[in-house]
Amino acid sequence: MGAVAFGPTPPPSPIGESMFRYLLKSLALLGVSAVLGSLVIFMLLRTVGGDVANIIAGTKASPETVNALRESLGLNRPLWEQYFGWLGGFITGDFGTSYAAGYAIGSEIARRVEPTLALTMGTLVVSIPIALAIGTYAALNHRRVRGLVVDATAQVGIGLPPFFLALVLVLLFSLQLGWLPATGYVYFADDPIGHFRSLALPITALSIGVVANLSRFVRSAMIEQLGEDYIRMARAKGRTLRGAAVVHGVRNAAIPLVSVSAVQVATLVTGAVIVENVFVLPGLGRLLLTSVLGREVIVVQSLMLVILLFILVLNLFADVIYGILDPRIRGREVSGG
Amino acid sequence: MDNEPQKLARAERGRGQIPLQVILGGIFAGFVVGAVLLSFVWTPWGPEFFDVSNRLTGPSASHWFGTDHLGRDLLTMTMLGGRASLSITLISTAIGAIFGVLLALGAAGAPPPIAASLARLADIGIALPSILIALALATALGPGSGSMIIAISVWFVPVTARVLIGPARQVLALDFIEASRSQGRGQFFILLRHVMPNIAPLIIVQISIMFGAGVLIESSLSFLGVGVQPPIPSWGRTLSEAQPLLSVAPHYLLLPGAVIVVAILGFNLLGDGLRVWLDPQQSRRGTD
Repeated sequence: MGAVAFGPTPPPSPIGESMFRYLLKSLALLGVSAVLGSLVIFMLLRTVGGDVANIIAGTKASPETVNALRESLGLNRPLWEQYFGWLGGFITGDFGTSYAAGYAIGSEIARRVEPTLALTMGTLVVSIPIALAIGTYAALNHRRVRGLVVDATAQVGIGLPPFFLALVLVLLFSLQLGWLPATGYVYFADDPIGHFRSLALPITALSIGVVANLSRFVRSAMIEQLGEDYIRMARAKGRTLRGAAVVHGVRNAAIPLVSVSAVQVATLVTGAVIVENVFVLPGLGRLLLTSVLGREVIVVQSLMLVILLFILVLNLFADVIYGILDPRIRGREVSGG
Repeated sequence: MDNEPQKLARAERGRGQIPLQVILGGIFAGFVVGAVLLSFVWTPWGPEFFDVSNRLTGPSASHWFGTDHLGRDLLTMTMLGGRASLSITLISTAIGAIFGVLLALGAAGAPPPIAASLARLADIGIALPSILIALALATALGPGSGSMIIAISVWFVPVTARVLIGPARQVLALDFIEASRSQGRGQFFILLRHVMPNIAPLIIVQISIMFGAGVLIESSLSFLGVGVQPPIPSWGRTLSEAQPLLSVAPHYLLLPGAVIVVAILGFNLLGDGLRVWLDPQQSRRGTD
C-alpha cells in the first residue's frame, strides 16, 4: 500500500509487546466495568422498588404465592449473598427461570442473541463505509453549497428518532410500495434471502442515525487531515486533492472515528432495543421490553448484564482496532494509567 | 487548544453575526415550545371532544392534523402531548446541568486524588445509557414520569461534566486565578465566581443539546410504553397508537412525528449554532 509512506509511520508489526500490554489493560478495564455495572444493575432492580417478590408476583397474587416465590428465589437471604449467588449463577450459565412464562432464562437469552447480533453488526457494516464516504465528500466540499447540503441533511438525520424513522420506512416500503415485510424475522438458516429482506428496513432505520452522527466526525477529522503535510506531498507528486484524500486521508481520518465508535456503541444498542420492538424482531431488545412490562425482575437483571457485556465487548474491539491503527495510543494508555 | 486565554477573551468580545443555525434552531424550537405553551390557554378543540363521526380522517379545515381513532383532534393532542415531553425534559435538563456543573467544577478544582476519581466516575456513568437505566427503573418502580426523570438526569450529569471538565481546568490555569488566589480567595470562591462565569457559554450550549436529547429519550420511552402513562397524552404514545393504524391513517403517524422531529432538530441546531457563536476559536476548524 502506498498509503504507508505518507501517513504517521505505522509500527513494523501491530502485535508487539506494547500491543499485548495494551490488550491486557483493556481487558482489565472491561472486567472492572462489568463488575461495577452488575452492581448498579443489581441495586437498581433489587433495592429501589421495595419487595421484589411482590413486584414479580403482581398485585393480584395471594400472600402464600408471594411467600413461596420469596422462598424459591432466596429473597430472604442477605442482599450480598443474593448478589454473589446471582453472579455465580451468571458465570456458570444458570440464570434461573422466568416466573410468568416458566422458560429457562439462560437458554431463552441464547436463542435471542442472533437477531440482535445480525441487526447491530449489519448496521455497523453498512454505516461505517457510508459515513466515511459522506464525511469525506463533505470535507472536500466544505465551503461550497454541496457541502452545506450534506451538513444540513446530517443534522436532520441526527434529529430523527429511530422509532419514527422505522415507522415511516414501514409506511413507505411495506404498505405503499409492498417491497419489504413490515414485521417479523427470518433466520438465516431457514431462508438466506428472506433473512436479508427481513433485516433491510430495521438496519436502514438504525443506520441513518449512525451514519448522520459518524459522518460529522469524519468530516471534521478529514478537514484537519487535508491540512497535513502528507496531503500536500501527495498533491506535489501529481495527485488531485480528492485522490489524496481518498488514498491517504481516509486511513488517518478513520482513527478518531474508531474512538467515537466506542461512544456510539451504547447509542447503537439502545437504538436496537427500540427498532427490534417496532419490527417485532425476536431479539434481546424485544425480550427486554416484554420482561420490563411484565416486571420480571430476575429476567431483566440477567438480560441487562448480557446487554452491558455486549456494549463492553464492542468497546473492547474498538479499543483494539484503535490501538492497531494508532500506535501512539498504546504507549499513552500504558504509561497513563 | 493551546491559546485558551485568547479564546476566552475573544468569546467575550466580538461575537459577530448571528449564525443561521441559531436563527433556524430558534424558530423551530420556539415554534414548538410556543404551541405547547399556547395549549395552556387555547387548543383548537377540547381534549375531551370526541368527533365520533369523523374518526381517523385526514387533515381538513376543521382538523388541521386530522383526527385519531377516537375522533379526537390530533393537533390538540399533539399540543397537549408536548406538555409531558417538554416538562420532563426541562426538569431532567435542570438537574443534569446543576449537578453536572458541580461535578465538573469538583473534578477540575478538587485535590488531585478526588478530582481524578470524580473524572473517572463521569466516564463510567456515560457508558450506562439512560434508556437502559429507565427500563431498569420501570421494572422496579413501575413505568411513569418519575422513573424517566431519574433515568434521564442520572445520565445527563456525567455527560455535562465530561464536556466541562477540560475547559474548567484550562480556566483554572490562567493568570487571573493566580492573582485572585494571592488576594486570599479560597478555592471554593474561585470555582464559583471565576471559573463558572467563564465556562457559562459552554453550559448554555450543553443545555440546548440536552434539551434535544431529552425530547428524543422521553418520546422513545413513551413510545415503548414505559414512559408517561394514560390518560396523560404524550408524543411517544401518540405514535405508538398510530402504529397499528398505519395503513388506514398515515397522517396519524406523520404529523405528530414531524412535530417531534422539528423540536429535536430545533434544539440541536440551536446548540450547534450557539457553539459557533459563543466560541469562535473552536468553530474555526469547521468554517475556515
